[in-house]
Amino acid sequence: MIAPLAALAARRVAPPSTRWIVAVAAAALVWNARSGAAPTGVSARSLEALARRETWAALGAVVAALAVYRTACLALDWRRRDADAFAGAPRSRFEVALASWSGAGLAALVLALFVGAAAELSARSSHETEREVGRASIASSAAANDDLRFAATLDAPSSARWLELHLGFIATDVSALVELRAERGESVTVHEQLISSRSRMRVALPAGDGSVDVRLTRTDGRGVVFLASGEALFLGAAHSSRWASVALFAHAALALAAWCALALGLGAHLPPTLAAASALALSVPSFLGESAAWSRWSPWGALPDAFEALAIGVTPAWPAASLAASTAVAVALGLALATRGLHTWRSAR
Amino acid sequence: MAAPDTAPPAIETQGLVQAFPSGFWLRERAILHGIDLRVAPGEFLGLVGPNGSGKSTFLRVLAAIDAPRAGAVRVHGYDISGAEARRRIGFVPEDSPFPPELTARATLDLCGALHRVPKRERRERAAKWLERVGLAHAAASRLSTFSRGMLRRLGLAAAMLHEPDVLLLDEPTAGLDAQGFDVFLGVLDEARERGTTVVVASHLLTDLQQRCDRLAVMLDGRLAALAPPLELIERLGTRAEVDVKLRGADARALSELEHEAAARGAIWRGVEPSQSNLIELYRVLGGERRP
Repeated sequence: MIAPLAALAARRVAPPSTRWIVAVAAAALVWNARSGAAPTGVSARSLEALARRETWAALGAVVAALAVYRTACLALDWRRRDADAFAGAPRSRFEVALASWSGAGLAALVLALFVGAAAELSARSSHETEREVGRASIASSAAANDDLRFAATLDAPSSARWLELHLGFIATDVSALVELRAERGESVTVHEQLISSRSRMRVALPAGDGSVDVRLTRTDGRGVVFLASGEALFLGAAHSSRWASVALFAHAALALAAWCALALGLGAHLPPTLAAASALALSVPSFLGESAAWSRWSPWGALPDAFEALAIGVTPAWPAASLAASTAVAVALGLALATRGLHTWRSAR
Repeated sequence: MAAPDTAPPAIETQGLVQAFPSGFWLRERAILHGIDLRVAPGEFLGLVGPNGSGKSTFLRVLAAIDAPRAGAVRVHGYDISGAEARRRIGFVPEDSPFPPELTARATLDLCGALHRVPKRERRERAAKWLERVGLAHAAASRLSTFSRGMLRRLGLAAAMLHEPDVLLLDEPTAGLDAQGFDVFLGVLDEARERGTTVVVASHLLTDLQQRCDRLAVMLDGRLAALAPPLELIERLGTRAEVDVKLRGADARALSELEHEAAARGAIWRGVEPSQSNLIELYRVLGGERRP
């Protein structure tokens, strides 16, 4: 690893101007979150969750765009500005690409850490909450009919204490009364709730380990109730809601590592703006509703779910090993493109 | 100074061709047309030629910055595309290529790392070379605050940091003040004493000419002549113009010299104070200021 070259790349990805932009944006978001009056009927916990999510989403988007664009500029910088000093050095192009990506990634992570700190400042307090410990697909195992009689057997992680479903309701009445029942052996837990257009429904899991039978029934009201999400969420206990930012940082780190590598690789062949836009555009499908299977496997595939969890005050799940693997593939691809692109250090005259 | 014939040449080019796309249709325009050159280890070669003759392009190929379109380049027997050849080369380009956001010390650290100089040695060598080129006081300053002359000195330090066997310099004296020029000559002399092969490209060699073992004259991308300086001057016959350096000559002695030259058929073109007077003046004034 060429450490001084990585340091130069980091410096170029997060120059003083970028740090200034991020600091001003962070200050504005924190001030906005802390000075706004709480609307009546909204719990402090919900406000905290929304402030955390908004800061992560807004500032995270700024940081990602800046970091990815600056990374895409690196190859052009090497060519136009530094080639006479560096190109003749006895280092392979891969070493140069690796050092550049390492520095760029490190700078992006430092900026993401800053976003996390700003998000926690915006959220103000912390409290005990829930964390996502697993998801189970329910669309393929069963479907709700018009009368909303839905039943499925789901494998629950051992640390799960609650099961949560996301329901939708097309109203004929103002609301519908729905019962969610979970059974494990002889133990049964039941939760009944009035739901409106979009609702989350949570039931405590019966004691014990292993699979759990879930049954959902509409007990009152008219209209169509449906499963708004094809996944059931298993939740465990979390000591502090601050862990939400830590978990989101882990997801952001993988996404930034992959984005930076792809931007560096594409930037060695394309103009920086196009390279950065292309790298970021790859992640758009993941953020559009029910995404395709391939996009869920991408390094940024779990980011939308993590943001969704953040919004409801739940700590997102840690990135799965498959995400780390897909990130490694994306980084390898980006470095290969960058190595190939640095073949001609100097641009043609 | 040259090594025995059994050693491979320090630099060897065979049929070296370089071309770049040019014009609307990006047709290849040849800059170098099949250059064959052998430079012995320890030799001091001057590369002269008018602007646009291909000197810088030639040096960039020798420095492994640009790959040639055709032909071969070897440094001490190693092909220029390999790391073994590259680690033996130090290059001072015409314009400062260093990142302006870095300090002088960080720049040398980066250059040392790129040439695989161990970390601890990098620090020591950087301090030594900053001192040697007179930039120790500006070690922590950003390059964006450096003058052109300071950047030239830093370029020389960066090129010497990894103790290259071959030193390539492209217009090295451009932008140097008298003191910088003095430092530059001192570094070159040290390099020669260590047996470093030196290639200096310039459109005006002046003070460097006397240090050259051979001069290569480039015209339109071709080697038009390659010979020791005096041999080339002899080709000019009576059209040759020479500078004579004197120390301790007063006005009367100069007048006598002028008459003697005229008596032998030479044209006396005038007397100019040497640049070294300035260096001496700086030293004297600097000494007077210090307690």
